[in-house]
Amino acid sequence: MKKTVRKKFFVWEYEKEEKWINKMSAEGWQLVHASLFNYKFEKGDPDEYAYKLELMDKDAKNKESRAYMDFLQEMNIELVGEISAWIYLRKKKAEGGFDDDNRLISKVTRSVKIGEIYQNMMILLLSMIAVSVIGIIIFHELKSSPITSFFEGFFTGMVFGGSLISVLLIPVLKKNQKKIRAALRELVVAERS
Amino acid sequence: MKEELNIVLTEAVYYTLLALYSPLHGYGIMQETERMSNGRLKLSAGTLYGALSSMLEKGWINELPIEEGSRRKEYEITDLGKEVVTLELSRLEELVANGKKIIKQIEL
Repeated sequence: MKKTVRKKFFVWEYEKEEKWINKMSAEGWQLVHASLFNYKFEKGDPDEYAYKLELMDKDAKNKESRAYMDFLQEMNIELVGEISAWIYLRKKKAEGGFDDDNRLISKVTRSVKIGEIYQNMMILLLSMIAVSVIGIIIFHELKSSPITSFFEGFFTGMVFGGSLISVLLIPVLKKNQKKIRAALRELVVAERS
Repeated sequence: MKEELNIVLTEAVYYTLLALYSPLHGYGIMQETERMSNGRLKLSAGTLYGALSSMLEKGWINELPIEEGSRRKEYEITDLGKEVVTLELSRLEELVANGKKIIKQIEL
């Protein structure tokens, strides 16, 4: 038996995403393929696999990423999906599953990488706002016509939309930074949590 | 060089270096490390990959040529790696000696 699920995945929901896949697995639905918005499951033994969502340094198409993915396969870890730098992994529970990396340094590394993603999003949004402001000024100066007012409206929308998303991103960014600082403080005491 | 060797190894690196006194592939290192630590230290694939990559870069371990019919890469400790792990052992011995001296004294 097979089923396909269409679903969104946001970066800040990676823990929820991993839990969801493992919950599906515990119900007997084993993830066999994952790509953007598209998840394929097959009915199987509920206790067979443990799933993990991992964020690599670079896109899955990258050569360094491929070398790492080859290594994972040598470690009896199966790759079931990739979305940019995220990879969906599974391992037989009989071989220990993934309950093996509770080191603080791993948490810090992941949070730092996620922080970089947020930062890039911010840069993109702010550039978009800047370009739109220039656009508004230019079209405002031009002789008024339906086309210029369309573009003025369009760029105004971009400024408002971009600003709104930026403002919403700030608390997410702050929360991530707080996580990193807390883990770094812990690291002074011990390597393991 | 002296400066570079004056470091504290992580458990993952220390045990991996010990395991590689005889050639092993990634999965073998994971199993050997778990066996030596009586199941306490379970290396994740990500940790092991990071440790192997940086030890290759530092020249503490070598990658062996892939044998025919095998898909798995094997690794082995180098002389520099042995030097590093020996230095770490003396550092650990100092920790243990001081710990024993003070903790046991109080307990007795």
